[in-house]
Amino acid sequence: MSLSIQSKVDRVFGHLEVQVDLRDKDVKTKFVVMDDLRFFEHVVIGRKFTEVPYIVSRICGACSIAHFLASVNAVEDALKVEVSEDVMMLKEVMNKIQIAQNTVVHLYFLAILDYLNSRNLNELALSKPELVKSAIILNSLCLQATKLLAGRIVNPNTYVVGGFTKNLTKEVLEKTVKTLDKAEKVARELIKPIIDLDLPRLEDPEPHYVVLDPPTGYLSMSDYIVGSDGVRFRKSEYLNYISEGVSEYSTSKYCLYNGKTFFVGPRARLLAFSERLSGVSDIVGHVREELKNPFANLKAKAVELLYCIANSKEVLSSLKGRDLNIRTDVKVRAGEGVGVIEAPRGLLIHHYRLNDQGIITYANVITPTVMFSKHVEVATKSLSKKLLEEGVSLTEVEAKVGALVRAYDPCLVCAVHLEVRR
Amino acid sequence: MVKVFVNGKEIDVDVESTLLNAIVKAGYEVPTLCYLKGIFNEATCRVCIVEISSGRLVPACAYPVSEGLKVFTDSERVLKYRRAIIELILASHKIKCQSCSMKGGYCQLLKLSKDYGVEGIPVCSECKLYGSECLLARGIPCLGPITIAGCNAVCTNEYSQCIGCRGPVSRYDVLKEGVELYVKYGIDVNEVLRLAELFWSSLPIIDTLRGLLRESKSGGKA
Amino acid sequence: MDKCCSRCWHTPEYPCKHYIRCRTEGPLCHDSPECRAKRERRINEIKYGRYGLKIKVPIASCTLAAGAKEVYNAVVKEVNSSGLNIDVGITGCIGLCHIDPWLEISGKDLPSVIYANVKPEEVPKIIKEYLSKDLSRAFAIRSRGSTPPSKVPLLEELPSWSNQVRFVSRNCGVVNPESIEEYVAFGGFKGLEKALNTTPKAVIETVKRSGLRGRGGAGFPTWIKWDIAQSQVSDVKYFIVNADEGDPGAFMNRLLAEADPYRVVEGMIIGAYAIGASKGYIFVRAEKPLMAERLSKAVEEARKYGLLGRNILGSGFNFDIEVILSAGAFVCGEETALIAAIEGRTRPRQRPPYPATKGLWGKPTVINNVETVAHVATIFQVSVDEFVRYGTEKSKGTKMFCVTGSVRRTGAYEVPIGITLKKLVYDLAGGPPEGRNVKAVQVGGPSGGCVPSDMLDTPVDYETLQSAGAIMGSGGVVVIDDKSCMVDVAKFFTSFTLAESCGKCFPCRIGMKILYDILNNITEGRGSEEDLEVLTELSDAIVGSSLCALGGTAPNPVKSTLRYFRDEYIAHIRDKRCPAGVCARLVEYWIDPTKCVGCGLCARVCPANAISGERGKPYAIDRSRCIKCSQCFITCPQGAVTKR
Repeated sequence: MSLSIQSKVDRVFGHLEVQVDLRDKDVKTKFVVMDDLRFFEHVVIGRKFTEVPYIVSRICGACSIAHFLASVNAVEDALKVEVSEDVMMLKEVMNKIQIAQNTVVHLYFLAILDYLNSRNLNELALSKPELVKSAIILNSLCLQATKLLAGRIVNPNTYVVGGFTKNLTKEVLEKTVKTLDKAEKVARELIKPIIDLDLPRLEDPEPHYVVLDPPTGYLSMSDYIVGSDGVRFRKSEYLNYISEGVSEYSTSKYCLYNGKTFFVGPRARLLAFSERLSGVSDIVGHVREELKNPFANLKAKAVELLYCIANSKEVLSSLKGRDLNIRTDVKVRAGEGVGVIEAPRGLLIHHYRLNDQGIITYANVITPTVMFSKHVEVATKSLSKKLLEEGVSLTEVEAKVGALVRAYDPCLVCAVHLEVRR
Repeated sequence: MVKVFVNGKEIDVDVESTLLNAIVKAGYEVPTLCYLKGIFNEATCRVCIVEISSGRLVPACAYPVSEGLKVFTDSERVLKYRRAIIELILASHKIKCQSCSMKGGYCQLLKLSKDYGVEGIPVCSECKLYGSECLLARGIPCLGPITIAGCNAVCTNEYSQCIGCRGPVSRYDVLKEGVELYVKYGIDVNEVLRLAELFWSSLPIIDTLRGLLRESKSGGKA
Repeated sequence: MDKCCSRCWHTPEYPCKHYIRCRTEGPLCHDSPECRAKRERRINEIKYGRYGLKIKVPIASCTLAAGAKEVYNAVVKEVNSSGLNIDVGITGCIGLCHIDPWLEISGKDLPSVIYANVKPEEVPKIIKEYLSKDLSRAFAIRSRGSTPPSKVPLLEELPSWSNQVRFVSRNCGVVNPESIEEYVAFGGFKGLEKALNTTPKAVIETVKRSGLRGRGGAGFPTWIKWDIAQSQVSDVKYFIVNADEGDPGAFMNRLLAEADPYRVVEGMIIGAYAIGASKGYIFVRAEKPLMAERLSKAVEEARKYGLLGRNILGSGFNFDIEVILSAGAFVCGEETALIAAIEGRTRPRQRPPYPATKGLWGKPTVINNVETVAHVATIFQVSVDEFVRYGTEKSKGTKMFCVTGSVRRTGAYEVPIGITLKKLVYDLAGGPPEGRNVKAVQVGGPSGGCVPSDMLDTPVDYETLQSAGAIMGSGGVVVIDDKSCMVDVAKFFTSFTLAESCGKCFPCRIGMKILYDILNNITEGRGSEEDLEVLTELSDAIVGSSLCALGGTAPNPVKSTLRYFRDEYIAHIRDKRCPAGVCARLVEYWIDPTKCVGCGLCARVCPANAISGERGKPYAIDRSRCIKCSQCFITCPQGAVTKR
């Protein structure tokens, strides 16, 4: 009897195959990424620090802003540029809006289909037209807001190392606030079906996580990272805690935190800071108990979706037309810097070394998908075992495994780092 | 059925066919713009011109076949004139490609201009429409003068340097003018070259640009 | 045209085959000395007037513009008041524009004398002198009659006449264009009679033997067009005469149609018979009203006498003509555009299919130029041999050329094809006026090119002109002297074709505008070296890829001026100078101190306050303020202001 599943997981960003080998008593699972190499850690070497953000923002259109911001953070760290608080605040707002937009796409165009009996968006549009319409509207509003602040919906062009290129005008701010206001109304209704979802039950076998540790606020910038074990370290020392490994069956690396499998992302963030979520505390309450379940990443995403929009609107409204300090001078010097940011899928690290001409001599990028790729294997193994014990059919197992993988929202396009020669 | 020769290849076609039918049947291609089967066939755009045995240039979409006719779809004259016509069309075309309703679809004119290397209108022309201050005047290296237009100058309007993501102009004279601009504003030509290598390093135009920039260095860098 | 007696039974409904021949040689169906005498008397009357004395005043668009109407009125007044027995008639233009307005006095056994540049007040003197055999005021004598030779030259001795072969223009300035009788009396419609007596195929064979090529510009062998149309099977076919003469500087069609309209009608009927057409159209420019009027009258009169309509001259051939006025677009000179205009559409069409197979309303159509059909009529009237005597191997016969520009004797001259340009410009047209030199000759109008002065030995025929970079065109020849700027000339012609472009195809519509812009920039001192290359390449592209012949020939002036006068372009571009002193922005105004008397007039008229000086001392122009309006140049009584 064939007891192995090699399922090409669809409805994720990129090409992924999850292999579950059930022949032994001990289930073996593999997270196999098959996308081609992209070399971005090599591409940036030899380029000037002004250009690197433009290159890395093009790694992926979905998280373009996250890569961009992590990159400028790294460069600013290396050149010891202290950007103003206003700039920091605007960066956070940009990031939050992108997280919201990314979440809409993932939740309503990819993940939710597992739970509403539809094979694809077209079918869903027929059975639940209002839902799909709202999702499209919300996506569009978030994109508009992104465009107003970043200049474009992907590949921002309003920011250079040191600050924004031009002052945010009153019109732009007002427009953004209006857009976000509209978005908030839609989001509040739209997240209800996700929050109310009846998720498959699974206990997290390796409940270790790593998140960015800002002193206040949620999804704010910080130079510190903290783990679920309470260990707090400066971003520049990440190599002492997070290690990368290579598996011979996947073109994506994997990560270990202090030698342990771990995860990142909305679920991790909520586990760490759920009490800081102002304005959505009622909804958080519903979700908090389920957070030990890897599937609950979806509900965490829904919470973050609403929070990001509402909070961004609040922050921008509070500016009320005051003059912003948007630019700091940049002196070119040699240095080494690390930039970290909470991307939609989790923690994102960019690490560069520059020479005295400002040219990049070394680069390292660790994406959230790489960080939780091992965790996916572990959780999948646990799920498959459990389902087999319950006597579930192979097709059902395959479906549930797919749903689990999608709950993590892996982005294989970012995860690909190297070539496996067989 | 009549026998015609398309680029030397013998082919039999219906006696009612046009040259265009014959060319397609023979497996070759000829660009068209105004031709729409069954609706418009008046050979007004002249883009589909081909050369026939008598040396005359005729529009493939409206010229009838005849026994033994020889057709050449890519002779030197044909290519030269086709290119000239595309240049003429673009010269009177409003470049607002980013807000064009065919965006994301298939724009035949843009494809033709790419195929025939006629892209010569730089981003500067769009940037000026918005009245933005020129980044070159601020000493910031910007690839606007040598990047093809069509993006509505989104980056330069946000005072962000143009990094040439749409691709370089393919016309030598425009490249030269751009280099002269850099010299005029005292922009370090090495900076320009480095910026150009960001997206264009695999394109043949980068060598031309390198040569021009090198020449300009001896000519005068502020 | 009247019947000689009641035995003549010809009516349009029941035509007699020999009706035309009978007019001059009749009566043919019966023998009657009285009828014969009656006929001869009538012919005499037509030729010499009722009293054997006739004054002819040319009434045509050109002569009217020169004041012929006033002269005509003066003649009528004089004849009426003096009670003289003289017939006063009108005639068409003779083609010697430099003598307009002229009049001719002739009579039986009397000399036929032409008086040139007549003023109305001179008329009584002229008539009196003629009657008293004083011919001192005359310009030329057409025929001496029985008078002895005098100092006044014979018309045929004048170089502007002796070099001509008046084949198709034989009646111009001779007959009354409004009288069908005069036309018939001078041999008209004999060609039609001959043609109707043979088969259509034989007609085409005759035209083929003559080697007649279309006189409208392209020079396409006429018989081929007719043959193709004849062989088409169709319920209706059309024959169109293109009288939409649009070239600036060409007026030979107007001249022919105003002076001898019946010839055009006759040629048309012959052509229609050859191809089997049942309906004909004459497409005339509304801006040439007299031409349209005369042609319409000719059609009406021909119909009246059964030469148009059903069963023409008993041949069983039905044909009628309609005169259509055009709205005056140069592009209508092009076949398919003309057809489109008649159909009510607007633009030229891609050929093939050619009009001979699919033309007006999809039916086989032949379009011929006015001069071409006039040649057809004459060939049939006279003989093929008369026609092929002249011309070259490939282009037989004669052609009318309108020579204008910097010449002493502007006019329309009919000469054998193959004559050199030098002969046309110098011998016939008298060369440039005193003090000027010929720089180039523009042949073929805005579709043609210029031939530089050192190439004037070029014979004028279709092939040699094309290799020299010009085209025969409709026969317009403009002589350009050294006071003209070749770049400006190219710009002028380009602006003309640009305005007349129909706009249907890209190369002509956009390309011509760009050519014009570049030329304009060059004439204003903003040209650069690359412009010359662009001009050449763009011209080639427009020529090669345009939809119709307008675009296909429009860049010719640019191409030929670039070929022969490149140095002038370079002077404009490199030195920012116009060698001919024409291009306003590139000309410097300078006061010659040796000529200036210090009157101060120039300073007073200068709108830019650029001229200064003291009374009695030479004045000077401040070039930085000079706006080159040329007011000082015009005003200076001493001619001290020069352009350079």
